[in-house]
This record gives sequence, structure tokens and C-alpha cells, in this order.
Amino acid sequence: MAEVAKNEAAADSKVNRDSNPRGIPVAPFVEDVESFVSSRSEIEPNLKKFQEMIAKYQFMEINTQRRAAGLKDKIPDIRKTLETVQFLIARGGGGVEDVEKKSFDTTFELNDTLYAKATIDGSTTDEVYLWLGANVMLAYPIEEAKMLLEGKLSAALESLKNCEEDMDFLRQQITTLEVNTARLYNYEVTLKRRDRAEAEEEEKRKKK
Amino acid sequence: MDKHLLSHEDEAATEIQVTRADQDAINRFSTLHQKQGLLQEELEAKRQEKEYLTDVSSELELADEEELVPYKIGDSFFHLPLEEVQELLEKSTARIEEEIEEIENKLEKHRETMEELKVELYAKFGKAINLDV
Repeated sequence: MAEVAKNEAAADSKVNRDSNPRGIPVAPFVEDVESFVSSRSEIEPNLKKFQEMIAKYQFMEINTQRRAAGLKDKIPDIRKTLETVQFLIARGGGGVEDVEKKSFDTTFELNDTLYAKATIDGSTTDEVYLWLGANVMLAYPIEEAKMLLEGKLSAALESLKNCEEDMDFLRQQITTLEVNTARLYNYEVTLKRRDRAEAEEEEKRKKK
Repeated sequence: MDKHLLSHEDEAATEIQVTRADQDAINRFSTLHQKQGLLQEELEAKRQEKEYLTDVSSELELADEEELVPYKIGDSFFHLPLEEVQELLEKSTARIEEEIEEIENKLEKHRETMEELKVELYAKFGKAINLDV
């Protein structure tokens, strides 16, 4: 896994060093703090800049999380419908002649917490109706319905995978910036301490 | 990241240069750390589901063979002969077991990688870095 991640990271950086496949920019990495800021006065604005960038990445992170949550809601729905269609096909839908098309009973949800019985005529399951949203329902031959649902399912899984990749990527950029911030901050503390030590030396010398 | 005050000793440690490779290692650790939590949750949910399936299977051992069993597919119940229901249940159980195993493998691999990264990073940064929660 680590190997794969490493290879992927390497491949990614070769293709594009500035952004990920969905165009999210890479956070700047500070290699050497001392040469990154040429003077003390640059520390403060840079710290602020990092904070702003972190906030932006976190905003994107929240959006991506929300999108992923939406997909996680949607995927089981598609799966349920697909399972039902697959079951109907196994029962003899889809025009398979030698399978006996028996009728069978079902209990279906008429409304929340209200169930009713229905008998499904086995000879009618060659065609199913899919709810497409926006108050539209369309009749499909059952095989076509299966293909459509499978397509929708794999598309949803694909975008969920992208969301998860983006989330990893965003996490990494945030971590980079957090480390940058910590190092820059520590550098400032070191400089201040050095100043103070020097001032004390100066005091001592004056007293002598 | 822990924001504790640095002592003088610790501060000396912070002057270690962080290279791009180190940063990548830190990032990888952080990503895996985040993933572990999500995977753990997913695993719990799947285990719960498997338990339900096992419960149903054992319950059905006692069922009357003559009677139809309402079996839930999607949002509706289909009234099916016991034998058919048992077959469907078996399939579902096998699938969920596969999924559980897959998640467990992932978790284990992540754990290993995180341990390796920990060793690597602690060796270089010592007290200046905190990778334990």
C-alpha cells in the first residue's frame, strides 16, 4: 500500500507538480526557513498567509466531505434498486424463455411505516419503471434498466473515490502548511531569544 | 499537532532541517491516520450487518418449511420459499465477509506503514514531533 501510494505520488508529481487531478493547488513547502524569509518583518505576513491558505483548504475539505456524504447516501439507494432488478432478472425477467415466469407476492412500502401486499405477475417483469427524479418515471426493458443502474452505480463509486482522493490530498496540504507555520513560528521565537540574549550581553558590557 | 511550549532542549531539536521527503512522510502519516478512523467506522457497520445476517440465518433454521418468508430486497419484501431465502442469505453473508476482510487487510497495511513512518520520523525529529494521539 505504501509502495503504491509512493508510486502514485511520484507519478502525480511528474504529471503535474502544481495541482492534483481535480485542479486543487499544491501548498508551498518551505525547504529552508532562514532563506525563506529575508528579514524579521516578513515573518508575520507569511504566518498570516499560511493561516489564510489553511482556511481555504479547510473550506474545500468541508465541501468535499459534504459531497462524499451525499454520494454515500445515494450509493445504497442505487444498489437497492439494482438488487431488486437483478432479483427480477433471476426470477425470469429479461425474456429468458425457458425460465418459468411465476407470479409471487410482495409486501411493499406504501408510505412510511405502512406496508401493503401486492402480487407481481411474473409475465410483466420484462419491463420495469425507474424513478429518474424531478417527478419523471420511465419504463425500461429490464436488461436496459440493469445496465443503466450499473452505470450509475459505477459512476457514483468513481466520484466517491475521487472525493476520497481529494480529501487525502487536502489533508496533506493542510499538514504541510501546519508544519510550515510551526517552523516559521519557532524560527521567530529563536530570533527573539537571540535578540534578548544579545541585549543582555550589551547591558553587562555597559555596566562594566 | 500538539501545541505545547518548547523547552530549550526541544528547541534545539526544532532546528533540524525538514526536507521535502520528510514533509511527504509526515503528510503520508497524517493521511493514513485520518483514513484509519473512517475505515474503523466502516468496519464496525459491516460487522454489525454481518451479525444481523447471522441472526437471521439461525432464526430461519427454526422456520416452517411450508411457509413463505418475507425477504427484503431493496425497499420491499418478497415472499419466497425458505430454501431460496437461505440461498440469498448465504450470498449476502459471503459478500459481507469478503468486504470485512478487505477492510481488515487495509487497516493492517495502514498500521504497518504508519509504524514504519513513525520509526523513521522519530529517529530524525525525536521530541520535536508528536505522532501519538
